[in-house]
Amino acid sequence: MSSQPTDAALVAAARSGNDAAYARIVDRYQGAIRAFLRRLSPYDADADDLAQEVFLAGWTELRRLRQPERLKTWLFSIAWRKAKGQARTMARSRQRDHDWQDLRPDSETPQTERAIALRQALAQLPPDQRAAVSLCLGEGWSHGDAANVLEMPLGTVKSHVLRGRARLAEILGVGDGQD
Amino acid sequence: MYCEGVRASPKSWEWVMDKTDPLADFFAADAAPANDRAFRTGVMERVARRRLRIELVLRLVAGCLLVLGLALISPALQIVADTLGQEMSAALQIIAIGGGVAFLGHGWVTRTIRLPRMRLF
Repeated sequence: MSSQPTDAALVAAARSGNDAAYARIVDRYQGAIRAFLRRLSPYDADADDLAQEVFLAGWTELRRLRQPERLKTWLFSIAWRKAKGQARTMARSRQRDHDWQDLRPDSETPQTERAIALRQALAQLPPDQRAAVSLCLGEGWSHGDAANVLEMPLGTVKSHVLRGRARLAEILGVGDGQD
Repeated sequence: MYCEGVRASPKSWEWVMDKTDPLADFFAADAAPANDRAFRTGVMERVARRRLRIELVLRLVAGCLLVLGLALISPALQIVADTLGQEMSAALQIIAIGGGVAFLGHGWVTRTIRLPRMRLF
């Protein structure tokens, strides 16, 4: 057995009740999912809490995943659906998580000015645009895959990415760089 | 930049990030958080809690169905008890209760706890 099992193999093992396989799935995608959600949420603590809910929902719904090889796209779809409804969740837990965030070590928060500036600039974009930009520019997704995840028409995603990118460049005071 | 990004074959109209893009440094600075064991543990703890809740609900439903079944056949049992007479009926009740206790006791003694499977394959 290879040291890096495929997503399909991990999904099959997790479906049969193997917790280690699901833990491996969590390890494989936690960075990307958390980064995506952190760019959509004003608080890292809220985003991480949401990311845990994403993986919990993933475990619950794993048997309904028809194409195990598309696990990553599927998890991001769950993340996006959860993010859209996060306002309700955040309202309940904001104070608690905010208190907790104050206690977190500095290494957990964006260190550089550029990272902070990017987060602040992203926060000024509408949620759909922010999600499209985060996936396509931040994570390197194709517009087609992003359209699947965000459940938007391809043209809408393209428009969100172009406009979002231009707006980010304007806010951050960098050249647009468009050829 | 169009069509010069990190993916192997982006569509000609797709906007992708490359190293010369002025936004690339910003996205690179806001890198994904490192793999966090505490995060994974938190997820697996929630998974274990949800599994426990599901099992409890399933057992509760099974228990309710058992009680409902007994209630449904109780008229027939009453007829049998009446036919056998009071002394035999009392003996049957004792046997039934004893059997039930033995069944539950066996279930308790031989119960298994689903521990996490820590080996992948």
